[in-house]
Amino acid sequence: MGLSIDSVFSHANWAASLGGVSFPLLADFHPKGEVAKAYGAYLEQAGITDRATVIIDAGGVVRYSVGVTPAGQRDIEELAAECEKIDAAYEGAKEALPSGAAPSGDKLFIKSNCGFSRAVSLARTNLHLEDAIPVVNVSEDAAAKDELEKLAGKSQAPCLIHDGKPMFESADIIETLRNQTQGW
Amino acid sequence: MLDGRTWMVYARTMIAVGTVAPAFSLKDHLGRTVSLEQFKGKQHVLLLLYPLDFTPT
Repeated sequence: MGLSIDSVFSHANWAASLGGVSFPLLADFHPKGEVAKAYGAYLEQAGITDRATVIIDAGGVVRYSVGVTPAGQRDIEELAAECEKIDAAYEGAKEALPSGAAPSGDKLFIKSNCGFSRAVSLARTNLHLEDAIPVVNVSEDAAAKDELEKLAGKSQAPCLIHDGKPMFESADIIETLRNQTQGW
Repeated sequence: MLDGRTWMVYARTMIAVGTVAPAFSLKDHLGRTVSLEQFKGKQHVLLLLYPLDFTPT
C-alpha cells in the first residue's frame, strides 16, 4: 500500500493519471501525517512524509523499517529479498494470496499513436490483467482490425469487448478493468 | 531544490523492528476505508510511504 499526506482527491487523480493502481493509496491527510508520525516517518520541518518502507507481518509486527530521504530511492531488490525472508520466518496464521485474475473472455483492441489507447493499455498493465485480458493493436495487425470490425461493427479503438459487447469510452473501459482485479 | 544531504539533517526516527505496528484506518484513492486490522492473520503488509503524489517514486 502507498501512503502520503495527500488527499483522497489528489490520490484519485494521480492514480488515474497512472492508468490505475492495483493497491490502495492511503490518504494520511487529516489530521495531517498522523499515521506517518506513528511510524516515525514524518518530516516535521518539511511537512511531508519521508520516502520510507515498512513491512508488517500478518501477525501485526514490524519486520522491516527503513527511510531513504525524499531524494533517495528504495532498493527494490533488497525489498524483494526482505519480503521473502520475512514470509519464510513468519510462523503465524495467514491466508494464501489471491491468484491472478483468470482469463475473462474479454479482449482489448488498441491503436498506435492514440492517448486513449495508451491509457487503457497502461491500466491493463497496472491492474495486473496481462494474463486475464489479451491486447491487440489494430494499427499493426490487419487480422485484429478485421476481428474488431466483426465484433464491434466498426474499427474504432480503443475498444474493450466485455461480455461479448463493445465498449469504446476509455473511462468506462478503465472502470471495467478495475472491477476485474482481484482483492484491491 | 533540497539535495540528499539537506534531507539527512531532518529528524526522523523510523519505528523499530520487532514492535507492534501502530493501528491505522485511512481512506484510499477510491474512497474505501483501509485499516491495518483487516490484514491481521491474513496477509503481510508492505507500506510504502512517499513524500507527495505526482512526484517520482
